[in-house]
Amino acid sequence: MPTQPPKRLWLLLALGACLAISGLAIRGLPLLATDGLSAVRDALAQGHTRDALRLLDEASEQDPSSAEIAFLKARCHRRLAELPAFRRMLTLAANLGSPREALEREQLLMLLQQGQRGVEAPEVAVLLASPGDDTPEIYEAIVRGCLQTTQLDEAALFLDGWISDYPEAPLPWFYRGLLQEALGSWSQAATAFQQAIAFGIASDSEACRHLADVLREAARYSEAIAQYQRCGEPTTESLRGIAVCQEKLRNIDAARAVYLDMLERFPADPAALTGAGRLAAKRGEHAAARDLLERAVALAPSDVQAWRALAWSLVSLGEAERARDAFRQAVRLTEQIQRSEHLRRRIEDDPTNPRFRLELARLMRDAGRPQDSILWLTSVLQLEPSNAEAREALEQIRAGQKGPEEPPRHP
Amino acid sequence: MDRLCSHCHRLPDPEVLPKEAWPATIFQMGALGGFGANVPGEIDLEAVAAWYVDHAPEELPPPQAARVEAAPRFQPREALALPDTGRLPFVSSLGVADLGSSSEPSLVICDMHNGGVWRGPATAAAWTPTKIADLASPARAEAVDLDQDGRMDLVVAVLGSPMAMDHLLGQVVWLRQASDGGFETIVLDADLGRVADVQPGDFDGDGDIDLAVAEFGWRQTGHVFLLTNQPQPDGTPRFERTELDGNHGASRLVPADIDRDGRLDLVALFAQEHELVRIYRNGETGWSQRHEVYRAPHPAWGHASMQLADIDGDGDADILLANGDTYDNAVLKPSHGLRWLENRGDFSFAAHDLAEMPGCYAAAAADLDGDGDIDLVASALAEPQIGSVDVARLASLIWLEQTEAGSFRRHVLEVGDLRHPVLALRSHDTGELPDIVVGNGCFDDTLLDAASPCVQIWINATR
Repeated sequence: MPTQPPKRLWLLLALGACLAISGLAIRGLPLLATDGLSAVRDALAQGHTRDALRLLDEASEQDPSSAEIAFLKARCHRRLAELPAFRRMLTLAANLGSPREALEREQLLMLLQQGQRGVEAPEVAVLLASPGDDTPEIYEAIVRGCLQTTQLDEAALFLDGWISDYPEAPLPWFYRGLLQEALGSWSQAATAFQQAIAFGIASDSEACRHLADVLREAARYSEAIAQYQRCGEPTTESLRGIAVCQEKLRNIDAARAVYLDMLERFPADPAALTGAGRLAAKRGEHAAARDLLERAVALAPSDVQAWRALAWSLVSLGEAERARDAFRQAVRLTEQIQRSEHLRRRIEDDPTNPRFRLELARLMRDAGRPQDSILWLTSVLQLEPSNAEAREALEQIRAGQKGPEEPPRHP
Repeated sequence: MDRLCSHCHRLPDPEVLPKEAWPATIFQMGALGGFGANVPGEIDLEAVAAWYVDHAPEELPPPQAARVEAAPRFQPREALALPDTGRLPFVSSLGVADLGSSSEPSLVICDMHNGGVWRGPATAAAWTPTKIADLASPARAEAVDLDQDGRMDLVVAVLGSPMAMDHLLGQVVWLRQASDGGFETIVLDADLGRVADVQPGDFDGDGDIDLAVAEFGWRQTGHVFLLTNQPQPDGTPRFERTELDGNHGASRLVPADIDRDGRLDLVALFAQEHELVRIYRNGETGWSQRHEVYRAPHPAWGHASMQLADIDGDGDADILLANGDTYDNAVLKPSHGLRWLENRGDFSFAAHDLAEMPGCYAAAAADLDGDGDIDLVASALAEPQIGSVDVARLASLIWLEQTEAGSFRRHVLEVGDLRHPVLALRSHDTGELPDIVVGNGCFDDTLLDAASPCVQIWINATR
């Protein structure tokens, strides 16, 4: 149920207005079906952004002065949250003569997608009133932004509209899966991801792995293993997922084999090191376990499981003082995780209250996760642009950061 | 199914948890060594989970809403806070003790979240808390003159972490009171799992003070053991460890001469999957006998605390049990509440259900209304969001008036503030009836005001 009926009503009205203006026409016509970039647009509509980008790279070699190709490449980079490349391509598109309104729209979509612009902003109202050919893009950017900033009610509202307008499009089902995943509704998330796959989302896409992840969370381990194996080329995430499922099913030898395979493919992967280390300890190979786990915590200092397993290996090896330090680290991290879970729940319950977002930002900063801290501080400023504490904290973190600016990842 | 589960605990009926809680529970069990230890061959865990899901209810019966009675005997008139040292305090132990340095009894508080052990006068008017020690999640402090130098000390059970996990950060600590009233921290035993309780007593009858220790641990760690005092020539205590029980999950110990043979026996409450009460008999030949005097119907019972009191006035020690812990599976159950184990002699106890109370966590017994028999008080603890249950409608503090032998009338003192993990009774030298002292704590304190009191005193209306 909406927490603020007038705002929700406004959103619905705005959404209704924009669809009345352009929605039917958009649905009735293929998108630029006659031009040479129709394959790109089809790929984008199906959520195959990488494929679209590859096609565009080929096309730009043929026609490097095409403003439209540069513009679409910017769009791909936006969807992939590749901020520097997005800016570069958008500048190129501008230099090549892309319409100013389209460029401004794309920039606004980026802000929406990152959760840096709320749907209440005046320029968003303008966008909603005249979406042009971009209704699905607008839906997607808004939903992504809502998910980024944990405004789950709003995300659900726009998803309903998106699915209602494009019932056989795979992307809204993918995002519905993400929403259900954020809510911890594993079975409903699995159903949504399955729907996205049925409607043609890329078989090796994020949807495939998310489906496997939520099956694992729902304790449907055999199904999850089968799903991970369908996700194309093995990745650290899919292999780790398979190993976790095998361990849950008490197939310890199979789990160990997967971790060892992971180590061969990805020797510096912390999850592989932790898994292999834990299972080595189970076999009584404590010195080997310690070595693997020490490498794991060096690479991933916030991995509780690795610290805990390392502590027990050190106990077995008689290294009492180091074991105590490792236990203390595990306790400290577990407390941080618990606190952050509590705050996330509060944010889901009360998404417009900046207090919990600020506290979570502080917690992330103290936990050595500045990018996540930036995300939550940004979401505070979206709610309260004049929030001095958030501004100051954001400036401090940015001042302390070195290297190129990267977009924050989803917490 | 019985053989699959019963290596470690009673077979749980599928009805004890709702459908959605079973898969995670089964797979959590599946990761433990004991699961299926009685069954040869491979176990299809998904089939086990599916069987439980098939036979479980969609939801457990919803808890009854409670209402505060008109003109209750106790009124919440005093609220005490601790200085801000980080997070909101979680009061894991609350005791009223004569520490000797003032004419008033002291309130001794353990703050599990911030690590402080505090003392202060047990009245709001005089409340000026003083920190005695900083320890890693103290669970319980007990007053005792351990070195018998005439000054009251404290022995403290140190968990090492507020959250349940296996580690070796637990300790047994002696806070030795010096002549200037300060306390020196002396670690008596370390590298333990989470230590939940330490109880002093002269268990070997040699005139000095020994310690019984409940190392709760978690899944891999945990024991019950004695630290027997073998004083050095200068009288300084020195302790030797003797294991009484290799099981984890002991949360509470009470020394008492149950068989009235002049030697202190030990009553232990086990939570975790065991959910039982065991008495270790201190006999002529040592600790050779142990009696399991109560085992809860299922392993998700959630035992939280235990007291000994002569509830029926027949001259022996009965056992008062509170079960309502929700930190394993976050489910408030209809089986949560207060129980009395009536001592029928010869280590035989009869269980009586006294009150249903979701989240029931602490209990105490005393004559609260001055009619000469024992009444009871109980408090509840649950996180603010627990499934779909509206905790704001649930009783958080009740007292049970004994109206005739073994019969109790329930009085609801407070509704909706389920953050009372501990309680104590404040007696008065003047003979006035005791007040109820409630300690507050909550793992998820994100909704609480930073100025929330950590202790509330409910004044008995006879004052």
